Amino acid sequence: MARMAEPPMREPTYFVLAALLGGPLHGYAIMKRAGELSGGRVRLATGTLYTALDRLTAEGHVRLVSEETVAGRVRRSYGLTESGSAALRAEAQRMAEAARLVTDQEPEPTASRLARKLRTT
Amino acid sequence: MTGANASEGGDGAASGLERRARGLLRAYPPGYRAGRGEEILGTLLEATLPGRGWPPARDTASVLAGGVRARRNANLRLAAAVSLRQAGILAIALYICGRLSGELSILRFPGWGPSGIGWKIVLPLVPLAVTLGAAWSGRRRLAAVTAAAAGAAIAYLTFSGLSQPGVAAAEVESSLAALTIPLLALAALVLLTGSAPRPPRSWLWLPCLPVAVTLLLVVAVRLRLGPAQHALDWLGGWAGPVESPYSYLTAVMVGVCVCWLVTDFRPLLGVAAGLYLTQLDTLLAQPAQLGVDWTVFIGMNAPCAVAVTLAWLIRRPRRSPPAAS
Repeated sequence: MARMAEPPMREPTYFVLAALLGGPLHGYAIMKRAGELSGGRVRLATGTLYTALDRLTAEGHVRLVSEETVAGRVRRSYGLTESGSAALRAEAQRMAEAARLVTDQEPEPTASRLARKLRTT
Repeated sequence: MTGANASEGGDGAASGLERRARGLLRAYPPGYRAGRGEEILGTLLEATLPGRGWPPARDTASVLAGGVRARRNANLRLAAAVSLRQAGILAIALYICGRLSGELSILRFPGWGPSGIGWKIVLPLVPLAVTLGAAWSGRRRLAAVTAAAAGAAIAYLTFSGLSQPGVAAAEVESSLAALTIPLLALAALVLLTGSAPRPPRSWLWLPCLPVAVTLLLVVAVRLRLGPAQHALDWLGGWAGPVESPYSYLTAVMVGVCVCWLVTDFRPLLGVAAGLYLTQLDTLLAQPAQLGVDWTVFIGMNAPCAVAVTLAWLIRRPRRSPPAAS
């Protein structure tokens, strides 16, 4: 029986994983990096980030890399696992293919359409 | 302002912010907070601009929503048998406390005080209270001993009342039938009592509320506190006195438990099953009410339908939610 296709990744999840491509980061750094990578479109809130990290850790896409104490508080850094990296690349591939469907059939610019019309007349 | 003052003011603002941020973290369940609390707090404080007294609104809302989600997931991860056992303990506790309230409310009338026959009411009260405490704290042996004592006291009171001259045969029959449910409920409570995981302490107010309101009412009547008495009477009013299974007090409990469904099905299941037990008990004591009209039919069967639906939802196999790290 054919395996059901994975549902598309949600944008915040995509950018959380993308933020970790450059190496392990702690919570606030993930929020900042995801914002930078998305051009400010994805603004992760604290609660959303930790809900996503819980889910991604349970799915095996993210793992705890290190734990340190900063100003008396625990600060944990998270990194991408192989499965997380593969899921991220698969999602990027899916989006690129979806984008090509549109960009490959882009309407001709008006100027070139006019030039072609002139040539034929 | 001097530098020192500014620094003190800044420290004060920072500590105020931290206190408020810690308060927000209470939205998460205690187990989750123990593992992740400090880390989320650190991120929350980093995400707050310097000088602000509160975390940003978006972060505040997301922490509250994350807390609700974490609580719901923690409850969904519990095995169905554990959830049903805990809801069962709550149901029996509510039923017993409802009956206790009914018995205690008699103390408000003259002649039923400690000098009268109030002691008869107090006789099973102590072992019943200990049984409930033992069930809640998972001490089965203690629960078994005190439940046996409470059962014996209830049976003694019933039989001593029936042995009076002039008691009709029908009354004897209905009194003995009415004895069935409390004794079965006590036995079931002992069977359901087990070690961890115990019912949450945050549910305790549900069985305690009717008893507390009744005791306050008794005190208000005895001290002739008119307005307090009216207020407490109103709480117990609607379809009957405070001991009635259907009262504004019940409506308050059901309302809170319906809101609780966002994170937990078990309290409403316990309340519905407790109401059903109470109704069964009432109908066994007064069988003439059976089939009287549709309101009795709905009052009898609606809690049963709610309890069965919730039990089915709890038992239904589902995808395991992610565990908190």
